[in-house]
Amino acid sequence: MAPRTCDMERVGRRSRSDADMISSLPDCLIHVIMSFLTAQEAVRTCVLSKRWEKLWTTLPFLDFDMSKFECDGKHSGRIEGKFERFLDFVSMTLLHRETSDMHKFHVSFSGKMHRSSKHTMFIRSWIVYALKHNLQVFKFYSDVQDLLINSLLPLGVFTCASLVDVSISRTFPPLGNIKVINLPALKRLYLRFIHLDQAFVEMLFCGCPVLEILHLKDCCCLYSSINSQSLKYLTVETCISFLNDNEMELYNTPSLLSFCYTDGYSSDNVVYNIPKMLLKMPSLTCASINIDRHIGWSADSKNSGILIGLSTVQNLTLSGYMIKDLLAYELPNCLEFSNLKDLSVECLCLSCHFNLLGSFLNHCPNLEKLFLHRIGFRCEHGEEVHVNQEALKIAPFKGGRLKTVDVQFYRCDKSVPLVLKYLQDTIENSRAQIIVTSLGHYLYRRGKGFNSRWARKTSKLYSTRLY
Amino acid sequence: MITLISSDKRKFHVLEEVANQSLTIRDVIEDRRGRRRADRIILVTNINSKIPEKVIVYWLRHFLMPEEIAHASMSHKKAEKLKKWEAKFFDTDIDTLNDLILAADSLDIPSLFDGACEKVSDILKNRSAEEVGEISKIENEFTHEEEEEEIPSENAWVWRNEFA
Repeated sequence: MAPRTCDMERVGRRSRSDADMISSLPDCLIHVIMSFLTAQEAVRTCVLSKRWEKLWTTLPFLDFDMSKFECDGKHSGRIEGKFERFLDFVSMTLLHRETSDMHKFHVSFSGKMHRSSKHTMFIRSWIVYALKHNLQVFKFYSDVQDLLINSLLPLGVFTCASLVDVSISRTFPPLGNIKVINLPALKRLYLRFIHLDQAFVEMLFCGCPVLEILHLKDCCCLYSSINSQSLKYLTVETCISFLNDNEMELYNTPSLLSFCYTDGYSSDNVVYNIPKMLLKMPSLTCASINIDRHIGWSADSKNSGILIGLSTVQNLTLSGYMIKDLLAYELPNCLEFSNLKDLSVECLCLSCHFNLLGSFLNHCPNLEKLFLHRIGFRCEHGEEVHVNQEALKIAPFKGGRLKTVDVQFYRCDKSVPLVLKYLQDTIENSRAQIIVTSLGHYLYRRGKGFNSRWARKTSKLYSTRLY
Repeated sequence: MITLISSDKRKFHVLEEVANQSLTIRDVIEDRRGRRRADRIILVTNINSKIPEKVIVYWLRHFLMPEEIAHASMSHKKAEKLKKWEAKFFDTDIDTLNDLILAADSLDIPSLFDGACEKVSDILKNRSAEEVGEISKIENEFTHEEEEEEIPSENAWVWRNEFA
């Protein structure tokens, strides 16, 4: 963002109480304010005053969101009517614009609708229009699986020199049609509900030399390796991998700083394995791993290789129900996490798996902050006091740098006091401070899962200093 | 340590790492690196003292949450806390928001700039022209005829979605 010049002295000298402060801002700043409105709201500001009448025609940020589109008139009740109106509105807005740059162009469709090839043609031509006006941020979301819309994007999207930020959901030209990808300025890419095969992924990283942020959500991953020199932030969220058991996903990303992984599941309740991964991320500093769903591990070896690849991190979050398996199977093969300073573990039942935490702590000699959240969450033993005596026999932790331990638990978990006592015994460092917070009751027996609003109401925060 | 001086001569001492969140200040410091202590004073002439206070509070809060951590802990409590804090931070009157926009623009602090603009845009959302005029003091200088005839016929497609 380049600083824009404006005469602030002039603004400052006017009497503040009744001055129209917004209108006195320069056009470019008002445009940024308008960029947070939908296109319909932005266009409607034309009646505010003469100053605002033509402002929208040069607005470089347009957000057409069908779910927020209001239309009145005789067709308002029917979704087809709304779709037609929406198409007309977008076309009219683009026709009435001045020929100025268009930095942001968002289009999102929602709801079931009947599309014809005429509609597809319209939508394609909007995108072509936007691409010709120095487009930097492009978002295109479609809510429904639709064969027509699937082949909708013009191939120009993949060869546009000005694009910096692209988000695409559920819509794509057929993968075979993309012959070349050349996006020299692209920094951020978000893909949702898209099949990614190896050829496409390779082409993508060759064609985007400065790509820094990649977010894959609900994608079908058919690739076996990601090789990128430039990537800094990678998020793989609820993606399904279709690799065979003996294949491995390779992530070779030497400049990666942050890595988020959330395991995937499919809507048809088919169980998918976590793919075996080989992480080559030497500069990684932050990682967040969430393995929550009841999904299987590769049959022959229960080792996904995630934890081993994270040995350089400073800040690590492990959460989800299956974290206990991850720790149990992979920890013995791990090196020391010598850089790790800040560790968060969520949803690990300490009364059953205290030993896992203990052995993990012994892998982190330089730990400074430990955050244990929702210990006892969703474990098999329910509300009964049950402490696995075997699990408590662990080596003491000599973390000399440990400063704070933050424990949050549900009040129904009666094993917590005992676990806390063991925690106290295990951590030999007398300077460490343990903060205990109760989160209220956890509705285990009702089978409803955690009701957050109710818990917030009843939760009583109390902190105790044990040392 | 860096000293910022506002237009009404108040001094603000800030750690260099904290003030670096302003890209303008970062460039100035980079330019003057290696010089004497006197050069670590930056005049912010176009901003009155109320705004630097707010900006520095914003800096300090964001300094505790570097970008990498923010990215890795998207689902994390810390990120939620920050969001709540920001909502409270931007919940002020429109004049302060305007000043914040101008300050964030000239100091080049992208996240503060976007946050303040978003808050102002809320005023324009889901309100009639009269309501917006009242809150933001935008003067409506259209004549009666213009309001009755010209605007509706010119912009019919905006309002009624009918295309004559």
